[in-house]
Amino acid sequence: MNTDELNRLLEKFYDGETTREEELKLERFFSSEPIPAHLQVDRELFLSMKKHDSQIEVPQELSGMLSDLIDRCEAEDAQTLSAPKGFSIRFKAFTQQFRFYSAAASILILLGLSLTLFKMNDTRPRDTFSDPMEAYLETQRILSYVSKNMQAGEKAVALYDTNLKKVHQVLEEKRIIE
Amino acid sequence: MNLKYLIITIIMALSSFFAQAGTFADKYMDQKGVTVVYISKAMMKMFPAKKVALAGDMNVGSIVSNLESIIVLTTNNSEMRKEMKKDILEIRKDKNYETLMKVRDDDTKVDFYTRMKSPDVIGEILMVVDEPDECVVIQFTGNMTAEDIEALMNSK
Repeated sequence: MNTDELNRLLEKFYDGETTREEELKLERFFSSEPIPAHLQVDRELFLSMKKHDSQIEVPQELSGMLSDLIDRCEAEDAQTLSAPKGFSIRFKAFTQQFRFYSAAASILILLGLSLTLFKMNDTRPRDTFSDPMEAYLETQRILSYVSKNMQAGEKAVALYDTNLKKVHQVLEEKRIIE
Repeated sequence: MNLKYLIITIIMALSSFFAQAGTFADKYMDQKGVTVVYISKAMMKMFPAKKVALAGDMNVGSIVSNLESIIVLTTNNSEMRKEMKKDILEIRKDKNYETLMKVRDDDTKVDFYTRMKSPDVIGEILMVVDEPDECVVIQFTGNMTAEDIEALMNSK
């Protein structure tokens, strides 16, 4: 390899533009030929790179671990796509809210129906009398009627008391005579 | 699950509310063969003040001041009388009602029942007069006291 080509390849290498073939060419150059003193640093770099290249070994289980990791990531992605996390939480909250509002609506409907039915069932009639004076006279008549019946009971009790007293009196007199 | 219990409780509460809504007299309000007299509290408030004051020994004003309503049911219909007697038997069994007085005079039977609202307040007085050809039920509702009953007894 002549000096011009070497300089061109080196320049390309440090710019990161070399191909694998060009890099191999440089490696071969630094491994075999006597190297000028000013290229000694470059030689050490290439030789160390070559040494590390041959020493690095990929562990056999790494491939399996990577494969598992990829599968897991894919499964998670698929789950996220089919039922997004946020969506499931929102759906659950919506279901709970729906149940709550359904119950509240049912209760309100029941109450409304009940009140309507209660009003419909309210058979309390209108006042029999439109004239307060007539109503008053009827009230007085009703109260007198009730009073009379209560007094009848009271009289019966009073009569019973009187008779009882008479019986006691007779018994007492009889005891005194004896 | 709790929601179901809540709804069942509400339905039961409403049922009992309806069950308690009707009184003895309410059942016979629109029945054929039963004459009804109904005097409301609003009407009692309109009673002529002078007349109330001059009602003599019958202190109408004092008695009606604690009343909510007066209902008089009269019937000589045999079917209605049977129905009424059946309901009165139910009242006798009802723990809410107490028998205040029973008067037996020849063919006439008079029974008084009271329903207490609280230990000192009578919510309802029911007088049932059972005669051979007629049955009369008088219902007083309101917030009456023992003094009101005494006033009724002592009225002339």
